[in-house]
Amino acid sequence: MHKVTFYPVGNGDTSQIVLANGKRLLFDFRHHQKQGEESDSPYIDLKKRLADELKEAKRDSFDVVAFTHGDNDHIAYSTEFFELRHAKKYQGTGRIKIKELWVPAAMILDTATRDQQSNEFVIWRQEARHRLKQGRGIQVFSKPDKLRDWLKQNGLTLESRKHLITDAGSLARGFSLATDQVEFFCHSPFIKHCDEGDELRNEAALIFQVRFETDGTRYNYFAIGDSEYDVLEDIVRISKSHKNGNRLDWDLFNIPHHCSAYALAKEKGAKETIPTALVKELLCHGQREAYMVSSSHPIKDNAEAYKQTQPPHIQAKKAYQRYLNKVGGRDLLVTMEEPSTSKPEPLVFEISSSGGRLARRRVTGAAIVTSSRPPRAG
Amino acid sequence: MDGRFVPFGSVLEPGQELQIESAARIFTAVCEHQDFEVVECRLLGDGKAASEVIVVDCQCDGVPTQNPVGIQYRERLGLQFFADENRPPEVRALREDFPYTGHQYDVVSGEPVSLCLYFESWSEARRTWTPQKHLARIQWWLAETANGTLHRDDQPIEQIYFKSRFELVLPENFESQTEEADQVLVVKPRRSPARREDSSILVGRMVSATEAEKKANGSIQCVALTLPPIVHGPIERIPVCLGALHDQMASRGAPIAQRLKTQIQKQTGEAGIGAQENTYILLVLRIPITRTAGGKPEALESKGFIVNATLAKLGVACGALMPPHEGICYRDVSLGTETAEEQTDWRDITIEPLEILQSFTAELAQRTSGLTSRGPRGVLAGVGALGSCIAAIWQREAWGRWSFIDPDILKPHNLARHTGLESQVGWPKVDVAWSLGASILWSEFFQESRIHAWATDFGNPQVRDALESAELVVDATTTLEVPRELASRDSLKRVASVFVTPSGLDGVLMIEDVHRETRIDCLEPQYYRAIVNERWGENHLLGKSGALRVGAGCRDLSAVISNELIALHGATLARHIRLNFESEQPSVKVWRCDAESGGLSAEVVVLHQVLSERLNGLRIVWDKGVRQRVRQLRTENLPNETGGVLLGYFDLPKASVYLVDVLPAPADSQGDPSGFTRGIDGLSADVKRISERTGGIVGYVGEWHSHPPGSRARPSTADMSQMASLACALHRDGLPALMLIVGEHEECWWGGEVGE
Repeated sequence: MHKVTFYPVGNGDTSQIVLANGKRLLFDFRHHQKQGEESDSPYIDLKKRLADELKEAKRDSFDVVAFTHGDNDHIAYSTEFFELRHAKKYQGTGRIKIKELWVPAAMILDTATRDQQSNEFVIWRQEARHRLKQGRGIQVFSKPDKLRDWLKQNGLTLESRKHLITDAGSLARGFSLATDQVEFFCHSPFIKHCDEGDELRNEAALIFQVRFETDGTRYNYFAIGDSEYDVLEDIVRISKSHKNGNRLDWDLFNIPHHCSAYALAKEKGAKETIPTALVKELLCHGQREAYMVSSSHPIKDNAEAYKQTQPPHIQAKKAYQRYLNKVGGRDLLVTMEEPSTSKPEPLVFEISSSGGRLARRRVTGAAIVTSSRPPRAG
Repeated sequence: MDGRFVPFGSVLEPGQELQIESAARIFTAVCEHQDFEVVECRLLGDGKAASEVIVVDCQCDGVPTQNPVGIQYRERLGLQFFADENRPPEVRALREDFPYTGHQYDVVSGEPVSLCLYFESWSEARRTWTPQKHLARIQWWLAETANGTLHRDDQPIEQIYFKSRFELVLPENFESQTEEADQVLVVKPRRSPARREDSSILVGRMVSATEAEKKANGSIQCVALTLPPIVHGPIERIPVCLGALHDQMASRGAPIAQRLKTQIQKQTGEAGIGAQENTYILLVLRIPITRTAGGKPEALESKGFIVNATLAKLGVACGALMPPHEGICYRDVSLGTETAEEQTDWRDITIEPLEILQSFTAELAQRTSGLTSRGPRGVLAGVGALGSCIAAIWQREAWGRWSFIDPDILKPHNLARHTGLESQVGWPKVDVAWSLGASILWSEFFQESRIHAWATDFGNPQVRDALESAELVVDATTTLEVPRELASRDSLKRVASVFVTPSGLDGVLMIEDVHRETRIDCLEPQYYRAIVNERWGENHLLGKSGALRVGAGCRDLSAVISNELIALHGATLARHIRLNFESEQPSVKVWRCDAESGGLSAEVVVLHQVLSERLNGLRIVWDKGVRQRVRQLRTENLPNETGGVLLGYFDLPKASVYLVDVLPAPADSQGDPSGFTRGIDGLSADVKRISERTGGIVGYVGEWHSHPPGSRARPSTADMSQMASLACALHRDGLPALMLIVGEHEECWWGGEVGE
């Protein structure tokens, strides 16, 4: 049985794939720093949670850690958690090792505007560059001309690093249906966007269709980090022209950018976002019994919510719900709402030869009481 | 939600309220639950059988999206509650094509499927039942059933969830013997001597057809059929009539009608069959199961049915018999009759499922006891109190295949501690132990032979054959003689000895290593050494009153040991013989029961490699432990000589002396670099104490002393004169004098007898 877990990290992303053979892949990392007495905070204590899970599995490393892009809500406090190879000060007891780092080419290149470059982003760029120079422990997605230039500046050839670079439209190296019952089809970043310049990072985020195949049963997980509608349109367009239509199929859909309306269309819409024709096509690739997950704050449905500029957008949720119903899907889940907005727990999907299911732990009343602080007694 | 729904009860009119309290409570809980939605309420039956049904749509995220079982994300269910609160609530799946899975109750034909939610009885489950937990339990059932995980992998699948009128125990040889033409399954109800009429257990035996006629009285008519192999498939709904059963089996390539006809003809003698009292007969199907079509059968399934017809009626209906003539139905032997399939009269005969129970076989016994091996072919010598207790434990576990050897007869006083019964008084104990085993298991395969003789009677070919063919000989005779004699037989493969001490509080196990490098008689002195030197040895061999009891064991009429202690040690020893048999090493272990607390502690005796010397006709058995001790005492006293006495015992028929331990020099001894004079201070008291601790077995057997640095262990002139005086003294006891000399790099044994 394979597992896909979404952690409640607010408007941010952290998900993990644990394969039946024990391999672990983490996608993005958003920790919320604890301040004072914050045990009542609805955000998960991510560092502790991941460390506990690894301890339980008797491990001190992930097989893969992928940063879909470098925005802060995808890397927050990660440099305190992981062991980095490029500098001693990021090494030592308790730090979690990364066997292979997956990054979009943009994370190697220095194309972000200065104020987008958080300290942690710079540290990760150094780490990615270090691993690429060393020639091991990294997989870079897409190879724009700028990457070739950067390699040249550092006295390396593209040829010598070819085995570490994977292009869009192909499968990530290191995993296969035959050996792992899983493959990662890389939809993005594709060259066109990497070389466009401005606002590169969001657009050039990693997007995979993760395909599980267990005893002939296929289950597709469409993993999108942050993305805007025109990127998705390109993906649909390119997939169709390459006759890769089934690479758009999904049984589990990670709603992009914390349920932002702009991943559907240019306009948010008053009541409900109307997706562009190509995005609609992607949504219609949903399979019967499919699930959607929005990694975001709870999505309210009140007058206030419709005016909100920051995601999650209720108008977008309505659109997603509409297409989910249309394909005969099951449910749209919001990470910060399950099982309750006050104490959300990770969403765990179990994938086997019987398909996928949501492993909803039944939380007993007694368990809730014993895991939280009761009101003060007088 | 897909599909049509089974009609169930009548809809509650608007304004009508739910009358059954638990139904009303579940209604509220359903309204509060995000995964459940009320569709309507319904009514069924009246009076005590009245029930109310809350029809709900239940949505369950734990149901895998592509589950092959066929359970859907949303299912329409009827939550049924009865006016009779002692009746468990039922959960009905209303979708017409809801799959038939395990963990469903059998229901009346046409009714919706009923889910089996609780493993425990309702009277137990209701102690903690709440509507909220009930709803969670329903979702759990749907999720785990759909995921194929309701059963753990190691849990056998129980397919039948109904109360069958009878349960049939099939004989162990049912599988192998139905093929044989003249064997018939005869089924009789098993009743306790109290003659209660409500017995629902039927027990079947395979007997020859002629014998079956003799035994017909009191038996239930039964037809057993062997079907051709079918491919392993999904669990199917239990058929309600013979026609449905036939169709179900025929669809999998194993039609039954013609076989039924042939079998009934075979079972009907020349005299035909008359009207019977029983209004039903039993039908047992033996179905080989293959994984793939044409593959080798991997399992055998037995299915049973109660057929609601007499054998005569069924025989006539399927064309096996002619219609009754003066009340008797004869075989229909006319040519060119229709095949059973062409007739239809038999199809509507109703059937009920009959639960089949597996008989208690050796394999079942081993599995139930958690044994991983079948155990050795062995001999249990001595089936008295302890031996019969151990035998009974192994018989129920089916561990090992045992021959019993014992010369005794069961006497009335033995019943206090023996597994025998009053009706067996006067029987040889081997027959008593054997018959208990034979009455537990169907087959006698695990019992080799029962020999009413002494285990040391090697002239008896039965005894010799049994001992020599055994992979393990267990001595439970509580004698000194038997284990020592068994030790000297080279043709045996491995010997263990067990006994309970006279107080009944301690149990002892000694077992040889698998190569017999340390034989049982050589383990005995090391056991005594532990008694002499360890704290636990102080009271180990003392009787209850504190008085000494030598070799008394349970054979002695006057031994007072409760059956509780025999059972306690019997169980411990039976288990540890079994566990130690798996190890190659020799072992001596003692289990001590604290009389007050009942706590059992284990003492493991540290064993040393055995050394053996020949001195004229005498064999001296000692070990590296004693050798180490004398070497150490010598070193500690250098440059002076030192010495002391040797402790041990003789076994004269075996011409052997066993060295148990040495004592260091008494305080008044005198030693210098040229000689040693052993003193006497406290020595007699020490020897007496040691003798008492060991049940009078261990005593003085000789002297030892050391030689100075650089010296060999050859006897000096002084040593020779000491030997002469010792020999004279010991001649009074008729025993030889022994001397051990410890030199720089060697030890030397020397002996002397008057007249040499």
